[in-house]
Amino acid sequence: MLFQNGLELKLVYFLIISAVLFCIGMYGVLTKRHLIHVLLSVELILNAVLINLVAFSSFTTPDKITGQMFAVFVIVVAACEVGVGLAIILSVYRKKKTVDINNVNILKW
Amino acid sequence: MVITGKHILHSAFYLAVTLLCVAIYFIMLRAQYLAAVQILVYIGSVIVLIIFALMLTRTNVGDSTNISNNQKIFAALIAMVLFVSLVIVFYYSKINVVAENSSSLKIVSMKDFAGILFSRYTLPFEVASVLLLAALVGSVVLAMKEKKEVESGHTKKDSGESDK
Repeated sequence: MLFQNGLELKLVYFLIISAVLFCIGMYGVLTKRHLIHVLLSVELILNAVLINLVAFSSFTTPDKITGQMFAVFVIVVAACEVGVGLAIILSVYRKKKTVDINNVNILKW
Repeated sequence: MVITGKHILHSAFYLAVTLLCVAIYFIMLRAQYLAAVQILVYIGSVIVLIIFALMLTRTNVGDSTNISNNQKIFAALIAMVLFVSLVIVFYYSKINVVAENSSSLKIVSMKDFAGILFSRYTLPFEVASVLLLAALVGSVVLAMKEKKEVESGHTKKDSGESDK
């Protein structure tokens, strides 16, 4: 329905989209100073992984749905990670009154 | 846009748009159930959580000029090198799996999905539910900690109630 007239759906397109998302997310993790901004970039990376999982699962083994099952568990773990990460950011903010990542050195000995 | 947005609240909304695009890719890959889960979980709850945390930690809203640290060039270099090497790997590995028409990608129905989830993947499902519960309790404890030190008597009951 969607790709009738000559357009074909290749696995490589999805892989390249996933690579672009992953690299943007990694750039964000490495450069941002706001703690929540870093968390947003981690979400981008996780979504790149999700696209990869679903693309490989539906292109190579379309009759099994193992990849999609993995993707569901990745989503669950990502939700847990966001919850715990935001709670940690809140408690750090209460303690230090800042969300700048350069000032958060509580773990430094 | 998520990365280069000046205001962090704007970048949270750009992240919502990006997640919506990922859901559209899932629909293109005939994974409708996963697209629904993506919209519900990510756009419904994760973005709301992030925006709540942004509102609660409102500090340097006006300080929007200097949101990056001084490793910008280095990080851009690393990201570009990684991207180029990934593209080279895709080029040389000759992955040419092509779905010749849209019917060759099988639509995963929710019935198959639920059947496999509750027969073969029961143990990971239960482990995931325990993990969710642990993350919930842990985040409540982390967010309540400072209050408990200030007023130790009352907030214990409060945290117990909000847990349920």
